Amino acid sequence: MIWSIAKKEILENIFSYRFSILTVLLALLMAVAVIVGYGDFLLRLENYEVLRPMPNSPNIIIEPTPMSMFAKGLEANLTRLYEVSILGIEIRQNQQSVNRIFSLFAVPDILFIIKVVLALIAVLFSFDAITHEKEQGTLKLTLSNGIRRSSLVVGKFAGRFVLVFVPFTVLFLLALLTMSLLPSVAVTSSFWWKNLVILLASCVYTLLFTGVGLFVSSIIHRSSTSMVVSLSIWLLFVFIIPNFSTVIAKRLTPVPTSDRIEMETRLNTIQAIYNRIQREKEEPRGMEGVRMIRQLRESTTRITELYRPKMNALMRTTKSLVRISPSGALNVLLTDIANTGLYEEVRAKDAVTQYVERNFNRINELEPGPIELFRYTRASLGEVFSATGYVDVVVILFFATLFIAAAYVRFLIYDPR
Amino acid sequence: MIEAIDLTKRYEDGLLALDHLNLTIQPGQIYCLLGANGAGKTTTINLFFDFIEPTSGAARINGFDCAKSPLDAKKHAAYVSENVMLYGNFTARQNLAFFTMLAGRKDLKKEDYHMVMRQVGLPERSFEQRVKTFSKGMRQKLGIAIAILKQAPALLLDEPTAGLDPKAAAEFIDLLFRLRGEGKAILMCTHDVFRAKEAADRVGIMKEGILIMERTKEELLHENLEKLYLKYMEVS
Amino acid sequence: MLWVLVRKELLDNLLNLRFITLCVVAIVLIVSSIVVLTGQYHEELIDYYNRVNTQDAFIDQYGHTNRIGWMSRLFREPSRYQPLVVGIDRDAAQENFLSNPIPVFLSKLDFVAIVSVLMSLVAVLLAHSAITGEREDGILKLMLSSSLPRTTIVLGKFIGGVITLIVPFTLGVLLGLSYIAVAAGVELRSLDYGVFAILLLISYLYMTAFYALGLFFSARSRTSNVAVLKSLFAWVVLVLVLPNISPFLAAQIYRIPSVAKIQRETNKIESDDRDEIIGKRLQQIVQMTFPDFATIRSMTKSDLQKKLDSDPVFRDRYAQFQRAFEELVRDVNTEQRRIADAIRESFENQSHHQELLATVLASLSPLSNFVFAATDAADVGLQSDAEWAAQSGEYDRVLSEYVNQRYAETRQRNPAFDFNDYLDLRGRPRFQFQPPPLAMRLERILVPAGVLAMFNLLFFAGAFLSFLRYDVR
Repeated sequence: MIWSIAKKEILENIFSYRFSILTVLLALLMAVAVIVGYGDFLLRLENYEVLRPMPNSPNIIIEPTPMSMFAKGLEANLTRLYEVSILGIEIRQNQQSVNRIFSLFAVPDILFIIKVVLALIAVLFSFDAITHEKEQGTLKLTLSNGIRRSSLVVGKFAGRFVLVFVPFTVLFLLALLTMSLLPSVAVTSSFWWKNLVILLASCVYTLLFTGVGLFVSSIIHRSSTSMVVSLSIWLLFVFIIPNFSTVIAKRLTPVPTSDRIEMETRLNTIQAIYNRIQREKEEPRGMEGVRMIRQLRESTTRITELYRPKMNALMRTTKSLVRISPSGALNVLLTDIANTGLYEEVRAKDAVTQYVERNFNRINELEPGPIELFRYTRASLGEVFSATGYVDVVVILFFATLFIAAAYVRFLIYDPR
Repeated sequence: MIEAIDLTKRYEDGLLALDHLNLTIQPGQIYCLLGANGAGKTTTINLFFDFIEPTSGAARINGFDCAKSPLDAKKHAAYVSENVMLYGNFTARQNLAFFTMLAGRKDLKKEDYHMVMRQVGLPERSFEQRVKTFSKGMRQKLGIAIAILKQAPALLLDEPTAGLDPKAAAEFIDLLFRLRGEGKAILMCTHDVFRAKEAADRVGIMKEGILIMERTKEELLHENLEKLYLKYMEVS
Repeated sequence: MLWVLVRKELLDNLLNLRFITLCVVAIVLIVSSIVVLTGQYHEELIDYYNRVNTQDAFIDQYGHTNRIGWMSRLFREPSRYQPLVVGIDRDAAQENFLSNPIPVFLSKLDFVAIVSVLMSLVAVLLAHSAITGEREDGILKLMLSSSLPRTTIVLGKFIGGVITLIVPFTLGVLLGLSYIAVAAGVELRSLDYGVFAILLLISYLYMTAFYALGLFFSARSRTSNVAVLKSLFAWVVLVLVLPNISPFLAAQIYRIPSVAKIQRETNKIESDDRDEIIGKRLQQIVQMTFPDFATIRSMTKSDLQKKLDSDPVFRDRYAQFQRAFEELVRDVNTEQRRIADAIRESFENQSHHQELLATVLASLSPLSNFVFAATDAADVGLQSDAEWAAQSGEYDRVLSEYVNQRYAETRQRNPAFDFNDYLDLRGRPRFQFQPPPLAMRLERILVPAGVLAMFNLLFFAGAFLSFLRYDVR
């Protein structure tokens, strides 16, 4: 019975204007994301090839990951060149800071498509699941046939879900296949596993927003109102909560501005140089150079030790606030899986800091010896899950269950008049 | 007053909806156009209001060609549809006031609206109620009220009594008689043979876009309209 | 007659529950984002003054000629309009190892974001059923049975819809602004009122463009269901896709060399190469004019002072050598900077071209034009850097003139004084950024605002023409 209702839902919609226009939209966006993502990845790869670590050079740079085509996240920051001088770790501008338009708009990667557009399509496919039949008058007819309400609502849900998720899966697999066949994309088994998890996460995410539409459809009796309400929930989850929480997180956990960090480092440096020169004038053959470097190193370490915990605290607060919305949780989860997220950012910076600690003296020729080659392996899927990913999964599953259960229960007591 | 001269409409898909329709309705006359669904009745009305353009021929109201100078023609005609739908969130009076203002009359007061609503038989308590609570009969009456307030000499009605209960329909016909008394030319499309016989000064029967029969009230006194209608519907 | 229609549209929308809900949501959001961002503005302002004072105190205490430019780096005061327009977040530039990565990860929800995403969606949702809805309800026929030209009807719908959209929105913004002025105690100047007016006006232009777009699709569809799909499709493309892909496309179309490579190259020219050249030329000078160089290098400062005081011939030769050395350093520095500047300039030209291309591509969407206009009006946008560079450059010039003069004066009194010695700079001129005047801001937003107006015209003309041929049956 459920299956015949689902089949009816699919047949009713598959030749509809809605299905074709939304599938075209999805296909268009996927194509754009693949093209743009690949071009962007190649630029980073090119940069990496120029700057990659050579034996005995203190170049610190992380290899770009092809997963950035799925979720770009902080990849542009992660793959910059870190340089070590007596002043500590310095960062070279990333390629995108040159073009300031990058910082004005969001990134059109596959994560964006899933988080924003797939959710929108799921909502647009389900907001009228019940109201439409009611307006058309077919709801009474259907219910007059001795069918159980639970079968009806489950069938409807399944049908609408399939209509959204099957085209998406096809397009996603196509995109995945295209990317894996492109030159300079190194395909490993973890590439497939990570994408499988991304697909699973989008499946639950689609279920969630189908549930949202169905739930709204079962509490509101007019399609036009139901659409506005569903779209408001979509807007709340996708834009308002995640973006507002970054502002609120910053109010809750104040962090120093980059101008302040820059100033403190700069003034410390000038002071150390000045002191050295003044002392050398009195005592030209002294060990002032070494003393200065030590002084600089101390002040850099002090600033790092003072500010990094604050930054990490801000990231934790932001993550928790963002997770109030399932879309925010998805954002965190997918970027973490793609190794371009906040988790990777902290992990990579830790690795860089440790590397510099081990090699600082040798890089600055304070002691003889070869400089270690900088190597960095990004977090594995298992590591991401046990460290942070499980929370996001729980959040998304919780919201999905909540809305689906609410829609189910609400329809059982629905007034079909 | 209301005139159709060789009025023809062929739709883009090739369907000939109206084939050389000729009819004239004088002031103080009610003309009933009978026919099954799809006979071309609504097309005729649509042509008079320039909702669609004629393929050939002309529709005229008060001498104005409806396709060439639609605004002048429409100034002299009022329209009541099969299912009068109004702004549900507005009260009856607000709807009436809005459409009357569209018709170009702005000098009316609250009492004038109330008077017309009383005239069409709307209950007093509904005057300031939202239209979304109205029954179909009440909405049709409000539609007539809008048409009356327009004070146009021609009145074109598209199945106005469909779905009304017998009492409401009878009241509606009474209203039409009153308007006829005021000298209006009235064209009413309907498939309700009984109402047509009761109300019409002349009756036309349409089939597949052709006016196949026309009778005056006097002629109908000696004939049974129902039998006539069924007879014409059967022959093809 | 038009006003009858406009009034009806207004009333019809205002009695509509969904519309009221959306407006309340928008107002609450606008006000709360203004409140939160004002708090952040205050914090950043305190931090800013704190930084300025720290740096000033540092210069007072450690000022010397050699590193004066490095010491007195100018800070930009947090924008007064930050509660409304965050603009290009400078934290997102991530210049430091310790920079906060959140702005790159998720953007902030400011007034600009609320208008560009939320209000455009509200406008489209309000407009999509303006014509189809009335057709479905059968009202359109009744309306057209009156002797009203279609022109008036479509104009009435547009004006009525736009007013319903704008009035509650304006109320929300005014509420937020009064919070800034009254509760948050930000003192408003006449320039601020001008900027707020510009922000409001371009928001209007932006929202009307989307209302006209919705109206256009309504006039091109038979049913509201189809109209809403078409409108949302266009909305997704214009709001979520076009602006976002434009910088990426531009980076693909107009390639520029690696930033890291350029920075390395110029660094080498300005430090390693420079030191090498100076070293070589110093050798020549020493050999030709000042053979005692090796001896004085091993002397302490007090010994040198003694020798200078006791030996006037040496004193003259020393002064001459010092002048020659300073000249050499200056010349080489200038020359190396010229070479590096040429490289930087050519690179900046290229990146400017890429940015320009991205801007043009993005301009295909009303959203980008709105964002460009809003950020430039608040002086936190793409064009804000030029004015800042001009004024801070001018200050740097004035300061270095002052420092050179002070240095020359001190040298006059004490020839042993060099540019690494403490120089009293407490009387130096201080920097005060003059915000660009309203006229300049208006000039900046001329193009994006003009393009927004064009979008309005285009969409409305489309809606207008489509409605004239609309099949009302």
